[in-house]
Amino acid sequence: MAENPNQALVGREGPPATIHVDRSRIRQFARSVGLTDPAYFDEVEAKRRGYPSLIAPPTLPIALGQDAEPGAGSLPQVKWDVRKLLHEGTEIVYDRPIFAGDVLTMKGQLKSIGTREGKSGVRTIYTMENAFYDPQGKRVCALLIRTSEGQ
Amino acid sequence: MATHWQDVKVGDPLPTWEHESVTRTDLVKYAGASGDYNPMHHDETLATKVGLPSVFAHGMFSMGLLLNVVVAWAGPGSVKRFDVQFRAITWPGEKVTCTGKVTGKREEGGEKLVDVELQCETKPGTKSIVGSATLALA
Repeated sequence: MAENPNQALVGREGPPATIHVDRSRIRQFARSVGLTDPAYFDEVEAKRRGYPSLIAPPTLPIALGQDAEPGAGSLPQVKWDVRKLLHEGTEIVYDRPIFAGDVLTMKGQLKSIGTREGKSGVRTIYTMENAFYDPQGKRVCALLIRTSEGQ
Repeated sequence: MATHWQDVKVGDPLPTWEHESVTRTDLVKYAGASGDYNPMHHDETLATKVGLPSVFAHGMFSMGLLLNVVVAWAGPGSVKRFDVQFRAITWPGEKVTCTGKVTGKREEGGEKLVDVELQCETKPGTKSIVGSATLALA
């Protein structure tokens, strides 16, 4: 198989974005997936449990890119045929939970390119990563999105 | 109350959580919350024009529904890792049944961890999502 022309993009970080995690986004996101635990909505209850503020639903990182400053936080422009794409899966890894009030640096990259056998031939799997860091540079979490392209 | 690590046994079921029926309003709410405005999730005219029966749910919407199982059982701050594969499309009007089961239990780096498998079913035998998570318990 010919080398994938996107291979040169692997491991190259895009321009970082600064994300201010706010209470409104946490509440809106929690509500949209049916979560009802008061720790997502009520600051008094969140603090009673020892959290600094509202805690973020674990899949919130997928939504945080829209809160980046204009032009920042974009993922590399992979050349693929959008008509042949499938969202294969998503993985989220946490070093600590995200809370309202966090100011996070988000860095995106094409992490890897692989393949899998599909029903109608080999599919190429692109794994994109958005990693989030605290102001001290310590990683808070990483979001990995696997997208596949058919032949 | 969140579950205590010492009480957990491999094979224990997590509490089932059901979303009675996926509505187009659910998808619009999720689009706004997530910032995912792929028209196939909210624009019925466009979706039918490309040959689909209707709009369909974001995979990440279903992954979000699955959180209800995890949070009810282990609490909101428990997730260390959560990984899913999307297997089937979820259509408006479908009921989503979210379930889970304990597959492992270990201590690592001073944390009391539990491994679970998770899934969403949209009709008997059709899994829209299968996944796994590692949860830290008290």
